[in-house]
Amino acid sequence: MNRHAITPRENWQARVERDGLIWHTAGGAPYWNEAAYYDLTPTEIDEIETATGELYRMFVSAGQYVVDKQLFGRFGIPQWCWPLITKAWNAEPPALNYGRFDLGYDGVSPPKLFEFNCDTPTSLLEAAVIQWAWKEDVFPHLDQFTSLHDKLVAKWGDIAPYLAPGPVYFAHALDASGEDAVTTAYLMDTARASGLEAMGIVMTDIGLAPDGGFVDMQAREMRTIYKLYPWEWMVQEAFGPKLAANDRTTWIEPIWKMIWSNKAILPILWDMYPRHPNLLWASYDQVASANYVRKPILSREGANIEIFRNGQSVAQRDGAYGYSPTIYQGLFELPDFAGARPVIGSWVVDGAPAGMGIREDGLITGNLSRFVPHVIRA
Amino acid sequence: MPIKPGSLLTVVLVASALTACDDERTASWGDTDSVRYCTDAAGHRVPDENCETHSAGGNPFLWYYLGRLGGSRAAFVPPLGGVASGGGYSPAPGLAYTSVSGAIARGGFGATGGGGGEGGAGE
Repeated sequence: MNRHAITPRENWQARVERDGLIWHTAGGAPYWNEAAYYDLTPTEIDEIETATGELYRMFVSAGQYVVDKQLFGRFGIPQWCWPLITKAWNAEPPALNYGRFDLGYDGVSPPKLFEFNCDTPTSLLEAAVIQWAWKEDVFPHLDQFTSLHDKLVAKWGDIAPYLAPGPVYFAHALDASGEDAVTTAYLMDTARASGLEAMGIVMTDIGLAPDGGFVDMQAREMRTIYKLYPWEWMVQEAFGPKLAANDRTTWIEPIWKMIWSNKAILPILWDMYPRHPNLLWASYDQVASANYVRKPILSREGANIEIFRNGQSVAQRDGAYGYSPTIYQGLFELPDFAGARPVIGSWVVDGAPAGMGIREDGLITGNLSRFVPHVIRA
Repeated sequence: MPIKPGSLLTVVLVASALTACDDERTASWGDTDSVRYCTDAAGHRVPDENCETHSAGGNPFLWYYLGRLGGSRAAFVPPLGGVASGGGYSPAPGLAYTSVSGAIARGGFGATGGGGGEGGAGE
């Protein structure tokens, strides 16, 4: 795994915007950074792909364990949600069942899981489309690890017969950066490519009818809603309790994603698969080595994460999740390419590895990390 | 081994405002709800503002009432442009009606996120 500097394409901003990535610059610096790229060997890609499939299987087992033992209290999930999650886990309502494993990888030791972003993952368009278009322009003779686009389109096609008639609504928050809008628009595109009718709506416009149905701006009941909005927020908001009385609307992803997307599952994985090569030790309350990370179970984008080396704090990021219970996880030393530390985002769609993206940042990968494309070495 | 994407689609960025469609699916209302919506003279649903802003004399718009219809029968609110059915143009005695726009609550989701940056909903 190597990092190389390279001259960006002329008018790269227009190129990526043409494919939908209007959020390519953040804080005055490129978020989409094609002034560099990574190359990995086929063996390294195989290792990441194999780890992704293995991690998915472990998450299935861990999810079943959590449901069987009703361990939702560990996850900070309100008790009224427990039967909803249990029901959804057992019934398996239609879902994309997609997500992004964030992995530490240095090309030497096996990939190590940091967390599983499977409720509201972003950097999707970049991984599925933008970096492929870059590769076709710059290295057309090389390959890239991505089948994400095709797998998402195929998955929409698989679940389409199980969805209620009518459009699939795509709901997202009105984020100032546009990142959520870009991701949601891309997913709408994949749904349309499979033949589904798709319509957009912002979360605050979702209406609640007197009979408990969720309706659009024209009072039409929405029977299928994809939402790029975390369940842990939804259940705490004003309409949250109404979810319990409404089984007419299918939410994508389902509420059982509250299990997998919560970092409280990491200690359970470690207990079930101690010393697994793709896991870092994790614990609710005990530090197992001098180098470790303290993470809120519900934080996003690296917020409120603190890194310790030799028991001393060396990096931390502020955020809005100081209230959240925390877990401890072993520290993986990311490779350092002149200050750029890459984290692998390895995608999975319904259990099948589906490609990867690489984001660079410092010790903690946050919302303003840079997305850097990759190729597979010939 | 890696698989190449078969084709790339241009992402069509869409505003999140809903556009009208011809879908005839409607919101169902419990039979204990008393709701009214506005129609034009031909009985097609129009925005409630038409009934609220026009004076009664010569008003081409009429309130259509969906009251307690009895039994378990549910009333339905058609989409804008849809044909009124299941109710009538006269309110049932003793019932208080709420217009559709007023009966639907909004803003119950989305209050936590939406600030962008690290406050965004994606991760």
